Amino acid sequence: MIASMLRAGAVLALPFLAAGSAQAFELKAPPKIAFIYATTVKDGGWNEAIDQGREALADELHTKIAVAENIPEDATSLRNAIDLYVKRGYNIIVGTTYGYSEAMAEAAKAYPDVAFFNASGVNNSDNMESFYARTYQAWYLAGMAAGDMSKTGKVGILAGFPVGVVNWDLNGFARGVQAAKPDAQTIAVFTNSWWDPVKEGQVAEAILDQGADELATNLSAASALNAAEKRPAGAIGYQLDMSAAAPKQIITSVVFHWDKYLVPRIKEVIAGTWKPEPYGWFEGLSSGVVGLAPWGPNVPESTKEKVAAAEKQIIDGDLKVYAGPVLRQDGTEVVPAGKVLPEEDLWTMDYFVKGVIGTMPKTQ
Amino acid sequence: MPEAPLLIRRQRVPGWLSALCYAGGLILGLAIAAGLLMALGVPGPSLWDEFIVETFLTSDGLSQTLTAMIPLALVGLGSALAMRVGFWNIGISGQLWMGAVAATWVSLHGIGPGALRLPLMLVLSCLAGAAWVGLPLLLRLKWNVSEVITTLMLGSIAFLWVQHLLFGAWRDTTTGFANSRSFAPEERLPLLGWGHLHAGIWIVLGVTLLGVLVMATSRVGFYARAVGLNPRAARAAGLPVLGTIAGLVLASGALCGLAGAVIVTGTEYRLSQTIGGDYLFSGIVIAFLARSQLLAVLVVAFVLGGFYTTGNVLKMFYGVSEAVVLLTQGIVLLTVLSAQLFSTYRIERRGNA
Repeated sequence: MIASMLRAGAVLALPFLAAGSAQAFELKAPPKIAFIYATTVKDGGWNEAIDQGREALADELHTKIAVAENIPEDATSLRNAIDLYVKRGYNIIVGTTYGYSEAMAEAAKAYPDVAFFNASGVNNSDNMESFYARTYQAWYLAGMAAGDMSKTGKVGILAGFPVGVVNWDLNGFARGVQAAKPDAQTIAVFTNSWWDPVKEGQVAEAILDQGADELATNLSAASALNAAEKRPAGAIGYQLDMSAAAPKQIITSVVFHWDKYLVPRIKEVIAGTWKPEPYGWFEGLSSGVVGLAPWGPNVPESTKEKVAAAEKQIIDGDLKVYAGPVLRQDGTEVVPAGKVLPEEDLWTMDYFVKGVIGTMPKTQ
Repeated sequence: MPEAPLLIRRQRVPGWLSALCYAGGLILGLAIAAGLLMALGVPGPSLWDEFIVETFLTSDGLSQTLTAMIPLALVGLGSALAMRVGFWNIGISGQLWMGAVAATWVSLHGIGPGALRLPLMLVLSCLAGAAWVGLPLLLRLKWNVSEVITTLMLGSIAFLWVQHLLFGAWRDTTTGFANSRSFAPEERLPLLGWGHLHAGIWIVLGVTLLGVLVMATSRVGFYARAVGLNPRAARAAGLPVLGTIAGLVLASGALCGLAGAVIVTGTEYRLSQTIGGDYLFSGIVIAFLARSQLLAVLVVAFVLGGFYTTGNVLKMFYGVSEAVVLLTQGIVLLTVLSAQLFSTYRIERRGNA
């Protein structure tokens, strides 16, 4: 009882810190762009997907973009990196992890003439915009395909940490699975790491041993796809098209096309028309920043048609992934029938929906 | 007949020789590192400019270097104290985590009045760090359990404990991300108005001064020297060996815990999973390079702080990869440590007989 009241109190708080005024931002000097990554760029996943966006941007603007890799997510490291860039005339800085949120917001305050962008960040201001994609929409589609193709009625997914932006993927996936096969179950396991190929392989085997015949990964390594290819079981990748890791068994991958955001956005900055979104830029399938990779060889036409129909409905706004009734694992109601989960509740999602087998660590 | 030269341990190492070997190792290491970087296309003059001028001689660079130095110096001092009495504290990062946890606990629960909040956070972090090294210490003194294993393992446990807190009770409910909420202004170490440099630098200087005074003038310092040189002889002479080891090792843990608090209250303003960095590695390296001399720890931490700053510059502006940056840092450390051989030992050709 008390726990649920606390949770109700917590979700009243807004997930994003809003910007004040709405004046267009102007660069005071010729544009000089830098991207800052927390890990190596060629990680085969999240960072590489953003870096493809950076390459597209560089081609489009015919310019060189500076890259800093392996800048840790502590404030000292990031602020030093930003200080160094700004001191040498860089005035458009893109940071690629939520761990940069706070230090970047401080830097944005200290350098009002520099435009800051933060992928999956939480802060926004007159010269800073956080951006992320409604990945749960694409995961819903991937879930539909997995559910539709599953014969055992059990599918699996592995993920990193139980944070809001991951939980909504898992729940979106599970709801997609159920949309295709109402009584199907989704086994969800957290590896408690963003990058641990060995452990991911072991977790993948364990999920398959529990009877799942379709397996998705919410992580950057391809271990789960290798395991699925060997078993064989259907495989779904994330971040980039991971079909190379499971050429026979691949169903699809949930992929990012960050160029769809970065190219027009940074052109706006250069043109002097950029107004940061007060609550961050946050779009889904309709914007093209997130979607599904081409289908694998085993996916039946009927599945493709079903998913295509749902995709159109989501883009048109006729289908909401978190439209009620949404029930928690234990059957308690989150969203009643006829209502849709409020935006801010997405970010604090700390539960599994009904039909998921797995343990969500408790907050509070 | 063996042709290899003999290594003879010197009875006494003259100061000039020690300094010469140190400088020689450093220069050789820097030369190899510079050669490697130039082979990778970093122009020589830029190297000079980045490493010496930008890192140590410009105001911005110097404040960055000093800020980076603060936690490095604290873990270095901690590591050096334990090393002095022959205790391998490989759990530096664990004690650092526990110190950060203690400080964050005070903030999240609003313990004590606002004015006392910050001192309380710092003191508790020392206690937490000391407690975390206390268990391996007890096992070592009582049953001679290897502290290399126990301190290292407790380091992992501390990190898992931090994760447990950050994904559970302490998670920032506004964002849902695994950080604690940020600290109130009175819970932060004041900035000194020079870059991001904060009052932690005074803590470092104070602690070092205190340590040097205690070591040079007090009975404890004398005991520590005796125990470090030969614990059995010290025991035979009737010195309080166990007490000395316990005191220095607990102080070592306390300093590492304090480093954790200084990081969360001085630069991060919150607990996150990434603050631990590689302070374990750095702490041991600093103590080694400083040969457990507390004043030398300050100097080495300062230079290493500069190394990290320069490393970032190399990565960001010259396209040098992280691996190469680590490699150059490793080369310099190795040559400096290897050069010690020539001051510790005398090399003699075998007789012709």
